[in-house]
Amino acid sequence: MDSLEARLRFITVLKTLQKTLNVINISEITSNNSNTSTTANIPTNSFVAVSNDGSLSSSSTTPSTSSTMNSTGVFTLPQTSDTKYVNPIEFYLKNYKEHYEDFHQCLIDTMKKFNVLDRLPITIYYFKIINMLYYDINNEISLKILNEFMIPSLIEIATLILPENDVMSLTNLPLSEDLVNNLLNSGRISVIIPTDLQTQLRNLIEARKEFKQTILNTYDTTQLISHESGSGTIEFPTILNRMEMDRDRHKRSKETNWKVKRPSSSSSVNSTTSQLMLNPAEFKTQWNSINALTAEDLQEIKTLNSTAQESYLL
Amino acid sequence: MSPPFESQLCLSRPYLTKNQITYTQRNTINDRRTYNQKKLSILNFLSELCLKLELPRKTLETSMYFYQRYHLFNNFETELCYTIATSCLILSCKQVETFKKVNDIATLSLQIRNMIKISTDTLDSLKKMLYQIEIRILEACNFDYRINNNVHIDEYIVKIGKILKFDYNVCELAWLIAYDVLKLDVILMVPPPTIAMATLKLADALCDQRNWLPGSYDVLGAQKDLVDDIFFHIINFYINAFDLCDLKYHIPPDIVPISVERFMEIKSKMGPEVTMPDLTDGDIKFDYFLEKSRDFTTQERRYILSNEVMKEEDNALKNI
Repeated sequence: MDSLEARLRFITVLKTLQKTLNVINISEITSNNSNTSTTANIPTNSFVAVSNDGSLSSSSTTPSTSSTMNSTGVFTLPQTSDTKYVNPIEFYLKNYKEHYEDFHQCLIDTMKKFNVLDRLPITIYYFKIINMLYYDINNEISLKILNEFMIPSLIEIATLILPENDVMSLTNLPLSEDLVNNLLNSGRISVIIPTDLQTQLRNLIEARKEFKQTILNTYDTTQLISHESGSGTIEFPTILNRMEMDRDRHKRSKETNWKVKRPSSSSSVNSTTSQLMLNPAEFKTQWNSINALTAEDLQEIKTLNSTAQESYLL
Repeated sequence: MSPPFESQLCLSRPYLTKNQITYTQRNTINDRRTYNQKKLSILNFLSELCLKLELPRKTLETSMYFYQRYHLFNNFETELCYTIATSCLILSCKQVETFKKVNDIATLSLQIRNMIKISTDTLDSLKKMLYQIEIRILEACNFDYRINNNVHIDEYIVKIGKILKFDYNVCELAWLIAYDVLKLDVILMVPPPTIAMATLKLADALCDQRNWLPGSYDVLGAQKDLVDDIFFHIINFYINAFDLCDLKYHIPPDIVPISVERFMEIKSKMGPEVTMPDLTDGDIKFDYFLEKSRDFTTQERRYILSNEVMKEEDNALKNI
């Protein structure tokens, strides 16, 4: 397809991101990859860095076992993706080699046209693309796109999602901070991001956090939030839409944040079921995500013990 | 004259003593050997399902609790046991809030049992059966939602290990032991934290750490005799059925390799075998809950969670 058609289709993809991005789960992405023209051997744990809603819980981080390069299990499940809308990741993977410049420009232009409250899905999508391209870094096109387009524009994206002196955009702050931190602290992608850019990004986040703190302090003292609204007045339907999106994103994340990624039996041929279930990495994740016994836990123990005692009826 | 309306009121008893369990099982399990053998295959089957569905350990634990609980009050039939296990998994996904679609679980369960072509009819009839079994499981557990929703063995191993400042290795070993524990009926006897404590005590002994102290029980709000009883149960399993355990294949490299002798050595150092208070055989048969095999023909079957409600109902009936 030609440049214009590519752009138009991409804009449609961007506009429907809030519906499609959340529905994607990891096994769908990797199973779709096998049908695309990309040569990427994208390991499933690449998406752990930025999960569906862009948030990072430690339970979603997998061990860095380099053996898990293939998709998850080969079992067949009925296709659950919404066929009305195009899968945005798949769309990008199919077409980026010819149209990456168009896509990049399109993405930023569309983002500018959106209200600041609606820009979050595009930001999440942007970071997802960076992650995907990084895992295919041996391919010189991916490297080129990353170095010439995606990474230099990070500041522009950050400024769009968190404009200066804009109170409304502060709702984007927690997620953006997570996305940036994950990118810069990963130790993998961060090596190709120039240090001054990293500093700029971090400074921007810090500045917004300070701004937020100032606003909160003013509120504490004067019970007023006064600001010059950088993004103009925001319509009520936009706010409602954003609330819906947040709610949806939270719901989706709860549906999957308990998932435990274990190496699949197809990748480790000789492993027995118990071997896979007793993978030390799984315990490590548990260890890192659970804290020591609290007073509430002690209370639970006591309640259960008394239930058990009543139950024995001795 | 209309026939009398029958109503059954049942107090929920989520945990039972060893004698109570054995007594109840004599109604439902004809061949204990087959039952125990099948239990191992079922654990394997459920583990495979958990692997494919990316379910955490807590779902597996809860499924095993449901499976064993079901067979306390419903007859054990070898042909049905995989279907029952699948139903247990579906229910446990709901209980621990790791939701998965029933279609996915059912389809996968058939695939693991080597059915390649699955028609919609087979799937539908399987689902129907799964839902029927589900209600039986719920009745076997007395609809007790308090059990297995927030508190799970593997999480409490970490929590307790951290508060007692155990080494990472000791806790990892306890976590491995906890997988073998799912094969035993101790999960029907005591709540998950007690099991977690027993596994930690054993792991501590295996690593020669000596960090499990007499004072540990109080810190954790635990009852010493219960924890020790489970501890001996687990150690006896390793001594008597060492070939069946998975622990021996997965010992972390820096820990002393285990063997039957090692467990016997540990057991001998732990003093006399402790058992929790239990009923004698003579007294048990007065326990209606255990004695009577389940009859699902009563029109109204109600399950309640507290003794107070039971007493109120009793009083209300007396006052009619």
